[in-house]
Amino acid sequence: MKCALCAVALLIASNASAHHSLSLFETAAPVTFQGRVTRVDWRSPHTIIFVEAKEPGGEVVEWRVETVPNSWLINNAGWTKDSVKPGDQVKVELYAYGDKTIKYGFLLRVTMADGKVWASPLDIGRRGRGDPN
Amino acid sequence: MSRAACAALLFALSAGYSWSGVSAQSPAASPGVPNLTGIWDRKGPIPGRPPNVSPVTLAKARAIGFSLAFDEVLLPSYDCSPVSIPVILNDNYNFQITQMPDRVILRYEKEDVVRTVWLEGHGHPSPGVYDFTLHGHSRGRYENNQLVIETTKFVFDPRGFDDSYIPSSTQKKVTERYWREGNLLRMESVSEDPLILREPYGYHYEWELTQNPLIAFDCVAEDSGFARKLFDTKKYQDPDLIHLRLPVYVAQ
Repeated sequence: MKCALCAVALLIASNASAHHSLSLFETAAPVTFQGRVTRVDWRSPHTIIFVEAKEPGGEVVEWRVETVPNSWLINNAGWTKDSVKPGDQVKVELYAYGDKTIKYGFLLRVTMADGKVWASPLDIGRRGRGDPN
Repeated sequence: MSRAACAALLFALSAGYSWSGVSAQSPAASPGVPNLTGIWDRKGPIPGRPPNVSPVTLAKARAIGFSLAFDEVLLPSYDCSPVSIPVILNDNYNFQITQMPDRVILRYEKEDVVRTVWLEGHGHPSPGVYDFTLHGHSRGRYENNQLVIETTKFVFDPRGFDDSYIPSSTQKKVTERYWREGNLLRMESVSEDPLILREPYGYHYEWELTQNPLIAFDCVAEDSGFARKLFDTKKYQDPDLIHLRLPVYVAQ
């Protein structure tokens, strides 16, 4: 069965040229936390959202949340530069970097206070247009 | 000939122009020349075609060996170095085509890449023996209402065909064909590389005409390289492994 899955994976063209692989992140167990957006850098190869959050022990930390390139968010996922702004209270779901002392992750989706969800279209390159969730 | 006229002639020749060849190929909207000018919004693979496959399935043993040994930390993209052809065709970005009498300009959202395709029949000189570049040298022609682009003279590239680390050699040749179907732009590409691939490797994609402007990529090198320092490269620093892989004078 594993061999069959590998064969299928090899036959399908790999994802569009990502800037770096996701091997840095623990993709098997996404992390969710709540916090306040402190800065959004609209740029490439990743638009980056910085989110201040409180650790279980009360310590306040700042997460570096990577997303896809700015044009993917705008063209493929419907984001605008006002979708997520400094000061917004958000719930973030991401793949976290293995070393948890470094608050760094790759965004899956961010949920705004009003329930609106903005997704980061990880595999949009292979699929073309479609649901980025 | 005056010094000024001589200088003008030299400038024109060095810029790739030919006095006699300007009308040899026609701009868009002429008979046999498809109108491809515009900004194109990426839709995805052409429906109904077999899926694009990975170059891994077509790679020779030396290319597989390279991919297994390659350390992601060495990726040029961490320094904002753009991807090559045909990799950029596989990426989900919009791009712009501008047709001119003697050339076609391709401008990509991805990494702000700009390619010039020199149309045949205008006297553009062939590249010199040392003229290898990341995006190669592109010559184009209109054929059966298609724009056909042939690109050669690429430098060696660790990511020669897509996201995998199957490299491409200086012998890579990429042929792209673009044509219109209504508001759709369709493209097929075939990449050949006798040192790397057992058989040609192809892509097919389509785009839709859009009025939206291109979005600048604006790569920031500091951010681009952030992840690089987090990769564990210990396995490449293992003395035993170095001894196995490197010539003795390097390992010492």
